[in-house]
Amino acid sequence: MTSDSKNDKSYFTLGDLRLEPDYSGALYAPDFEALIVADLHFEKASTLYERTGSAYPPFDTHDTLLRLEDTINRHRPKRLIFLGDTWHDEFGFARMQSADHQLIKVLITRTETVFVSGNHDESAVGSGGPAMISEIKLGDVVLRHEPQEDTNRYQICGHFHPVAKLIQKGRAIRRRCFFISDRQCILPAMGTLTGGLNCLDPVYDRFISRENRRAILLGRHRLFHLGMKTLLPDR
Amino acid sequence: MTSDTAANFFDLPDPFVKWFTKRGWSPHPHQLALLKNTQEQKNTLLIAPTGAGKTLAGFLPSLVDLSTRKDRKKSKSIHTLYISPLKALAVDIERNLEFPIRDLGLDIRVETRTGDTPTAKRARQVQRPPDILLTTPEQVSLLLAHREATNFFANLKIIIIDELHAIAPTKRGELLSLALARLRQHAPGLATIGLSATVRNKDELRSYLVAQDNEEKLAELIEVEERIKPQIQILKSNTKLPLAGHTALSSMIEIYEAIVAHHMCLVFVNTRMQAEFVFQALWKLNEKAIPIALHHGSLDKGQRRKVEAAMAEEKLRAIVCTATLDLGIDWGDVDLVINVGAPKGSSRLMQRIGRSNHRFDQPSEALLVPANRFESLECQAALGAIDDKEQDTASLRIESLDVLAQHILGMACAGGFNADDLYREITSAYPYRKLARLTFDSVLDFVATGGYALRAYDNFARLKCGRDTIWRISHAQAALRYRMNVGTIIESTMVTVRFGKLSQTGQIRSSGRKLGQIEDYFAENLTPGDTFLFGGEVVKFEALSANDVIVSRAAQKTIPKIPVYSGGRFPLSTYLAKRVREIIAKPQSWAKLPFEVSEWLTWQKDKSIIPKQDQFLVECFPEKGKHYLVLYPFEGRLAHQTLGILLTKRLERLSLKPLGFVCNDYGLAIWAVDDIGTAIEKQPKLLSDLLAEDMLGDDLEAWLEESSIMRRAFRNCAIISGLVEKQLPGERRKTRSLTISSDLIYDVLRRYQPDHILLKAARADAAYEMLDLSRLNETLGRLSGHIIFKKLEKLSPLSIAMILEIGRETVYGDGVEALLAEAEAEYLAEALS
Repeated sequence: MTSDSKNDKSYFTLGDLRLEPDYSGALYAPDFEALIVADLHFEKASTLYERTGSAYPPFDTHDTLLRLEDTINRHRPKRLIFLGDTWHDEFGFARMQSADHQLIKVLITRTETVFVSGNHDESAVGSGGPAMISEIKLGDVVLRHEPQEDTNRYQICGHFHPVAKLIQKGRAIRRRCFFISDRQCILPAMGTLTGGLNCLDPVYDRFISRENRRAILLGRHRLFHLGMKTLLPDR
Repeated sequence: MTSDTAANFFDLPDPFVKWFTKRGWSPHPHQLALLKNTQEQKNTLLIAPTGAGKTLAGFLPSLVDLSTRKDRKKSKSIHTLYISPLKALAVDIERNLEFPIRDLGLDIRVETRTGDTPTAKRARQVQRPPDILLTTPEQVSLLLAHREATNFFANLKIIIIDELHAIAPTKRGELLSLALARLRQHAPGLATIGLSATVRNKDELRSYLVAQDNEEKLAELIEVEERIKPQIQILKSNTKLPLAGHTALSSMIEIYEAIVAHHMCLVFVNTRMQAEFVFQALWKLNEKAIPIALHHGSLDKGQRRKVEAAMAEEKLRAIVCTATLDLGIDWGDVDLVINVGAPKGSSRLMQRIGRSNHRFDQPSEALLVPANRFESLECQAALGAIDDKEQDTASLRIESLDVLAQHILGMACAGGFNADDLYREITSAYPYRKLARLTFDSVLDFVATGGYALRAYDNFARLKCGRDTIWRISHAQAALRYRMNVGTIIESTMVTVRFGKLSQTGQIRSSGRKLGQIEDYFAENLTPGDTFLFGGEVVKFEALSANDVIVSRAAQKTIPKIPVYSGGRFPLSTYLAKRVREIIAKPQSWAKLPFEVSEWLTWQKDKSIIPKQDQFLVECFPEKGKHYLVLYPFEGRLAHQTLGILLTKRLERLSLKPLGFVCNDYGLAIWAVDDIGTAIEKQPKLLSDLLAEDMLGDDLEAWLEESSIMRRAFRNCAIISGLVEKQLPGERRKTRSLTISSDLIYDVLRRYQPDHILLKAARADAAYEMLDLSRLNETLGRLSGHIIFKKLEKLSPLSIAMILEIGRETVYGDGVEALLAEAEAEYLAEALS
C-alpha cells in the first residue's frame, strides 16, 4: 500500500494499472480517467415492496444517486463504468421516480458511460433502460460484475458486497470495504440499502488470490486500511 | 372491605355451598365480593398478596355462571377468557381447575391455547370453542384477527387477566388493552377481572380494565391486606463490606449457612452474570454437596424445565435465579428468599419475598445480602419502604405507535374496519385514550403504504379503503405475515453456546454439548481466548461458527477475563433513591447501619461534605495525574449514563478535555486532562451552566441520533410494526436479497423523512426504556439551585466506590472512526516494521 499524502490519495496497482479507492466505494483509474462504481441496486426498496409487501423507505435510489453525483464532482472523470447490479431488478429502470430519471440522465450524458450487466439486471432494455455489456478491459485488467474463477488473472469486480468486521477496544465495527489482493479488487456495494458479505467468507477463495490480501474500509470522509489479521468473521 | 359489597356465602348455588362445607372451607370474603361484582357485570381489580386464593376467586364467577346455564349445546362461543403472561401458568391453571370441576360434577370444558398448541387442536378450538379458554395476550390478538372471531367471542361473559401488574406496564399490555377494546365490541356485556399484586398506582390498573371515554372510568376495587408482615433481615456479615463490586463474595459463607439451615431457598440476583458467579461460589463451599441449582434466562430451556421439576419434587435445597423466577407457578415449598445485591425497588423485592411461604397465615422470611456499602444503604432504604408499604411499580406505557400499527393490521386481517369506528374503539383503551386523530391517521397510512412523503407505493398499498369506507387487506400474504409476527416481545438475538474443538487449520472439528444461549451483542464482542463464566463454569471462547459460539473448558482456576457484572438490569427506583438520600442526610440514623458503613459515612463527613436531603453534592479532586468531577444524583444508572454522555460533550466544548466517565446507580465520575476544579472555583457559574436543564435539547438529540440505543429501539419498533420480519429463534438469516437490515432503513429514514412515524416511536422508546429521560429531566429541575461544590485535595470516601468501577473505556461521539484510525495505525506500524 502506498500513500501519497496521508490517506486521501492512496492508491494500489493491479499489474500496471494504478487505482485510487474513494470513500464513497467508487474506484478511480487515473490513466483512463475512469470512475468505476458497483452494485448500486437502484429501486431495491420498491422491488422488495412488490415482492414481499415490506414497505421499505423508497428513498434509496435518490440517496445513492446523490452520493454518486458527489463522487463524480470530486473526480470529474471522462468515463463512468457501472459494474453491474445497477438496478435491483430488470424493471427497476421503469420504476424510478422521474426526478431520479432526470438526475441519472444528467450524470451519464456528462461522461462516456458503460453499463456492465449484473445478475440482478442482465438487461434493462425491456424497461427502457440502457444497453449493457458483459465485460470491459482497462489495459490488462478485466472488469466484470462477477469475477471468473481464476485467481491469476487481473480482475476488478463487484457482486459480493464485501464488508469487514473488527473489534477495537471491545467495540464491534462492521463496515463496507474494498477487498484487494495482488491481482484482484472487489468493490464495495454503493447502493444505500445493500447488505454485505464478510471478507473472511470462504467463498472468496475461489476468486481472490491469497497473496497480499487486505481490506480498505469506508469511513465517513476517509478510508481505513486494514490487514486480514485484524479482521473477524461474522456468524 | 365493606359488608354491602360482600356477597353472602349462601348466595352461592347449592353444590358450591356443599363443596366448600364438605372440605371444611369457607370462601374468603373477597372471593364472594368478586362473584357479586361480576354477576352485576361490573369490572373489578382484585389486589391480593400471593397465597390468598386469588386464582380461585378469579374463576369462581365463571364456574358459578356456567353451572347454572341451560343451553349448553348451542354455544359457538367461549364463555370465559383467562389471559396470563406465562404459557406455563396457563397450563398449570388448567390442571388446578380440573379438580373443583370434577368434584362439583360440572359440565365445563377447559382448554389452553398457546404458541405450543398443535395446529389441528387450534382449528378444532375455533370450530368447537371450549367454555373456558386459557391463553396468552398474543393468542388473543391472533384470535381477534381470525375471520371466525365474531362467533368465537359472541357470548363471552368474563375475561380474567392474571398478573395484571406485570403485563400492564409493558408494550404487551398496550397490545392487550387494544384487544380488550375489540373484545368489548364483540361482547358488550362482558365483565373483566384483573388479578394483581400490590402496586403503586391502583387507579391506572382500574382504568385499564374499563372502556374509557372523555372522563376517566374506574373498575371496582377489591383489596386484600397482607395479614402477616414478612420477616426481613439484612445480613450482618462477619467480614467487612467492600466499597465497590457486586459479587457479594465476602458473604458467600453466610449465604451457604442460611441455605443449609433451611428447607428450600430461592437466591435471587439481578443479572445472569451475577447468577453464574454466585452459583459457582456456593458450589466451591458446598462440602455437604447439598443440591443447589441455577436458573436464568439464557440457560437452555430443557435445562430450566428440569430445574423447575426438581424444585416441585422438592429435590433441591436452593436455586440461584434471576428475574426468570419473579413470576410464575409456585414450585415447591420455599421457606427462605435470599436477595443478593441491591434490591433496586421495593415492589420487586416484595414480590420476590412473596415467593417464600405461600401459606397465607405464615410470614414470609427473607434475607437481604448487600454486596457493597452503597447497596447496604439501599437495603436499609428498602426495609423502610416495605415497612411503610411504599410501592414503586412502573407506570403504564402509553401510545406506543408500533403496537398500534400491529393492531391496525390485525383488525384489517379480521375482515376490515371503518377508520372512524376503529379510532373510537382504540381510544376506549386506557393507554390510547388521548391518541390524537392525526396520529391515528398517520399510523394507518404507515400500515397501508409505509407512510412515506414520497408516495411511491400507493399503487400497491397493503391496505385499501373501499367505496364502502371499509379498509381491507389487499394481499393474502400480508395476513400471513401478520400471523407470523404478532406480539411485542423482541428477544435479543441469541446465539447458542456449545463446547467444541478447533483443528490446526482453524476449522471447527467437533461440536459438543449445548450449554445455553447468550446475547448476540455479547458474542459479537468476544475475541478468541476470552474467558467468561457460563452455565456455572469458566469457559474459553474459541470461535464463532455459522450458528454457534464455540467454547472450550478453561484451565482450572482460570479467573474469567470478561467482567462478571455488566450492570443491574433494573435501575434504582426513584422512591428508593429518595430514601437512600434521606438516610445519608441524617447522621442520627446511621447507627442502624453496619459499622463499616456508618464509619464510611462519618469519614465522608470529615473529609468532604454529607449532602442534606435536598442538596446535590459535586466533588472535584486530582488523582493519578487526572482531574475528577464526581456527582451524586442517586437517580439510577440509566439516567446517570445519559447525564455522563451529555456532560462530557459540554466539557469537551469548554476545552476541559474530558477523557471518559463511569457511573453506577448512585452517581457518576468524569475524568479530564485539565483541572476542572480550579476552573469551577474561578468561575462559580460554570457548574450550574454545565448542569442546566437545557442540556436535554440539541446536545441530546445530536448524540442520540448516532447512538446504538436509537438503532436498537428502531429495530424493535420496525419489527413490532411489521416493517421488518421477526427473526425466529434458530432461524438462519433470510435470503439476503429479500431483506434489508433495520440499520440501513434507519439511516435512510433519518436523512429523508426525519418525522416518520417509526422514528418517532423509536425516539419515545429510547427516551423511556434506555435513557430514563423523564427522570433525568426531573432530576435536573430538582438540582438547580441546590448544588454544593467541594474542591478536595484527594478523593473522597464516597467517590472511591465510583472510581473503583473505572476500567472499561467509554466511547462517545466520533469514537468509532477514532477506533478505526487506531486499528489502521496498528496495522501500518506492523506492515512497515
